[in-house]
Amino acid sequence: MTTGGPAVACWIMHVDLDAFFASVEELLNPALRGKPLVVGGRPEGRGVVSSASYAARAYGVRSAMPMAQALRLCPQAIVVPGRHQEYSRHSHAVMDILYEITPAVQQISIDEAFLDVTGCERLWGPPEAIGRLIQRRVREEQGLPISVGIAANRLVAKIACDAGKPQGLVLVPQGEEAAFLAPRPIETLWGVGQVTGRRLRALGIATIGDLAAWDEERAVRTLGERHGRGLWRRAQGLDDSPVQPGSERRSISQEQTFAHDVADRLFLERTMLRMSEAVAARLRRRGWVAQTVRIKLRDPDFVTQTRQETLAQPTDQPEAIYEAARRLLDAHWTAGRPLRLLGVGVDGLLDEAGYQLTLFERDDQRRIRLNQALDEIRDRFGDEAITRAALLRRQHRPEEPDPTEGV
Amino acid sequence: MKISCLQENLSKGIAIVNRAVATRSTLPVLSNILLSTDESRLKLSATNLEIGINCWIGAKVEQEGATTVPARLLADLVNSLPAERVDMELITRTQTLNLKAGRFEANIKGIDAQEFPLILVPEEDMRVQIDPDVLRQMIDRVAFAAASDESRPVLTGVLADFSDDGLTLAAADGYRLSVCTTELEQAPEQPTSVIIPARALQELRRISGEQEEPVEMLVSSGRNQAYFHLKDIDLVSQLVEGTFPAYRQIMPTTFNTETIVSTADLLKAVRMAFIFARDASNIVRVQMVPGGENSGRMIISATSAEHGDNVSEIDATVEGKPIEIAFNARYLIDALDVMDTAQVSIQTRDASSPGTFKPVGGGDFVHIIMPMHIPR
Amino acid sequence: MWQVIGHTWAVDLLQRSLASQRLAHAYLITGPDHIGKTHLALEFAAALNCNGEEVPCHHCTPCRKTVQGTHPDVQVIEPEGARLKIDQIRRLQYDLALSPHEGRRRVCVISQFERATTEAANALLKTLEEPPRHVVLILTASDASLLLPTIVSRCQILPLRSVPTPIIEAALRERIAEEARVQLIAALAGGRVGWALQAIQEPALLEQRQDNARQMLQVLCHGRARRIQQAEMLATHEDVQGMLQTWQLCWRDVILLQHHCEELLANTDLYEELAQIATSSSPEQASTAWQSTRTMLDQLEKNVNARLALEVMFLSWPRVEVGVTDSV
Repeated sequence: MTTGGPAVACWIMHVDLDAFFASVEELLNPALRGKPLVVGGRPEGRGVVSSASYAARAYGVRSAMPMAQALRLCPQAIVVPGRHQEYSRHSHAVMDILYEITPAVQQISIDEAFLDVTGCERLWGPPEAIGRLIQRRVREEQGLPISVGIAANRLVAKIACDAGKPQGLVLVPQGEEAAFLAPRPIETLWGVGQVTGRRLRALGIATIGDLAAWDEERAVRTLGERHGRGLWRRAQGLDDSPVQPGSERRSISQEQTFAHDVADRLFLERTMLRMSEAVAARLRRRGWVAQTVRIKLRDPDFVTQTRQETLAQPTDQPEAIYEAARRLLDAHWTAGRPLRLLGVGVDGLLDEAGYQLTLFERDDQRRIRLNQALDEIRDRFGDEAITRAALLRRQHRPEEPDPTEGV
Repeated sequence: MKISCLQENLSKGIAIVNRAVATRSTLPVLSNILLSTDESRLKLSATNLEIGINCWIGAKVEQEGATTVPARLLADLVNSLPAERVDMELITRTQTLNLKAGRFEANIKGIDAQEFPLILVPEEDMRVQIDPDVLRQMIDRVAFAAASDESRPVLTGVLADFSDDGLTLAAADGYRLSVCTTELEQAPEQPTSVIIPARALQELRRISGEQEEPVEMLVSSGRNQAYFHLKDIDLVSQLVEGTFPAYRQIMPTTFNTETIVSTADLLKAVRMAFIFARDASNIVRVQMVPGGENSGRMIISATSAEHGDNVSEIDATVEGKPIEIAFNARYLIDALDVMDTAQVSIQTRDASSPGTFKPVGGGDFVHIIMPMHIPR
Repeated sequence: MWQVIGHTWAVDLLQRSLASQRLAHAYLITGPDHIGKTHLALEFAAALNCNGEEVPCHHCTPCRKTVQGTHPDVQVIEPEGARLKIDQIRRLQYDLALSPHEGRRRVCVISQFERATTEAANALLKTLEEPPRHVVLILTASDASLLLPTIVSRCQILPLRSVPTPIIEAALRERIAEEARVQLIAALAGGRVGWALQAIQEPALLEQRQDNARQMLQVLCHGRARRIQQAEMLATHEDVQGMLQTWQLCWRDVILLQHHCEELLANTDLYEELAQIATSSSPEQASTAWQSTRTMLDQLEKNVNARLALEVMFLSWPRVEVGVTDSV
């Protein structure tokens, strides 16, 4: 190697849900399966395609294409408006699966992520087996197709993933990165946009291999010190940018838009309880604890209010999240005020953390055990109803305010 | 008022009462020290309405009287005076204290002594005598476990329980509990239980200094004050009202593992782990590996995402099941610091039940720490 | 003897609960500013720790210290700046947990509780739910509806109303000789005992009111352009609220004069000018103007831009030639 590569072999994985929004729509409405399906804005307006099924892609429809153009290419396409709540619910579920493989997950967008699976062999087997496991779990548990690219670094893993789409799994063996990249169009490389691409093609460079064949100095002279050196290194298949776990905005939240505006306190509390439970379960799956709880209130006229409270101690327990959310509701919601949307979320997430158990509120320990048991049940049966009922039963304590008070 | 005394005595007396001077009060007179004549002595008093201290020093009293002067000013002034005789005279009309020492003279504007809150000697309800060394040791072992956060005032206090068994001090901040008992030479006439602010006991510890005579303790009939009588010094403390948690119920009665280990070795290992634990919520993981008579092991480790990790292994006698449990390093250090015996015994049940720490052969003292819950 | 002007029923109620030893842990005294809420609270505090025969005796040391504000067991907490903050409540909670220092009870008066932050109010809720046994809390607020219902429901409420003018007059007569001033101050006080007592001690208060009234008369003489100028100038006045209150009272008087109720006039010293306004404006104009001062007082609470609000208000006032000279 020309420059010092990593001493230990790294295994980086890139995973990308195939035609994500369209796949979710197919899942929600099986009648759409296999049909040319386009998710996006109405053609009458200035809508663009946010996702297209592979059947639609066969006609040349691509993401970010104006909807009108898409319909010219594929007049029989079925257009559906996006349902972002559904997409984010599935996205969270998929990310949870990834976090169960390793905490070293860097979510890049709603449908893609990098994982550093170096050293996971003892737990999960070789990288390829891990890729298959992810594909199987995402398919079986969420009903969604996902592609996987595996390589020594992020750059090659990402290109490998794209190369295998849809539902592909491509592994680039260590040391074969440059050879793998060589035949691909130069625009595939990170850092080659329209302008650079045109310039390079004018210089006779059409593939990554063409650039890799230059000597480094020439690349620097032609393309500038930083840009040139960076591109040249990437053309060799070299990339040492690390997977930064959780460099996505670290927060977990749940929200619900009500079918009708709600001013019933008991109903709001129950909704918060359910959301606290879901948020806490996701925290526990990832092995995180949260320091801050926030609630989101949206009025019928779309005025949105977010309020937060820092907990005395970080937590991953639904009771603590719910109690804080309820205090926030007490403080920032007046009886009778109708809400269109209610949300509960947590921030200030820590992964190498724990929390101090308390001496006098020994319920803590029982609750932790209960929640652990419930996690296992949910993992096995995916049944949320059990937890909700268990939590709701605790609701009717004597010191509770009269639930009819707020109506 | 007209009196003379020695600068050294005055300076010492001021230093003693100074700790009770209020720092955050709305009553201006509370930042003053009350000077009053008491037979042939000068009495210095200060109070922050939680703790009041009286201190008597030898003086020549020519004319009786009393006044209050700002504590900071008086302390700074007296400390810079030469070590000789100090003459003080109150000019009543202007409430000005004239102070002379050698060729030095100063006038301090005071506030009428009438405005100073009363520091009463309570009508006694219960009186006991305690050996000063025992009292100091008990305060050291217990007071640190009281809460410093004032959100649950009862926990900022130390429960003092007087019964036929003797005196038991107990303090807890919600995460740890210290309980220490001593026999009393004379049992109290009736069992009494009060909550004394931990700060008051810490002050008592400080001012009892090298006193060798027994400390006399009184609890007032209205149960609203505790009074400690030392040689030439009184400390009066308000009591914390409320009910102390039923701590006996939460003291573990069973355990699965008992570990006996060198106090010094363990303290050293925990301090080392603390360097890494500091930026990871103070989490220190402790593993007990069974083996009799020093053939067992304790493994103490901490991990910091940024700075790395640390593992120490020490020999121990471990009986029972192996266990891994996590504690707040700060709490372990605090506890081990007051275990003044060569060995400490640690009883544990499981990773989410409290750990019980006792000095081996170190009297009737138990310290209990709740572990930390680690998600993974 | 309670030294309280008016509010007889409230005094009786507190007196009875003292006599029967049936004290609430917390009281909430409500009513407009300067009506005597904090004063009543402190009289009650004195009575709670008084050593005399007829409480509060005002002679014993505890009474004296309470009134002087030097009783170690009696605290008055006020908003720090605009709000009453959680730190203030936390500090208080610790103090309250300690046994009383020299009195029988610890009494804490928390004034203007409507200005407590939500966090502070929630923190105090804890104390109200489990009050230490020797503690009596007295909250004051302009209106119970401005507080969390959970706070209000845990207090015994004493809603004070304006003190009738004759009672204020009688109280003032004990303090000043000049009858004309007694009547003027009592009328201007509009039931606010505290204001009346302050006015006899600080003549500046009355002068300020006269200045304020003169500003109003000037506005009425001016046309559009100068009214806008005046709005700009007065927007930076140090007490816009006080100014508006004077104007409101002036317009009230104008309306009374238009309905021939001279005997109810508050600004007796401005009779001539107000009568002139009354005759040269219609009752509709006067009541619109009165309404405009009310609206703006409400808006001020919501931090409205004072200059714009003043402009809008001034332009809604009628134009009246009043015989006043332009003063500085």
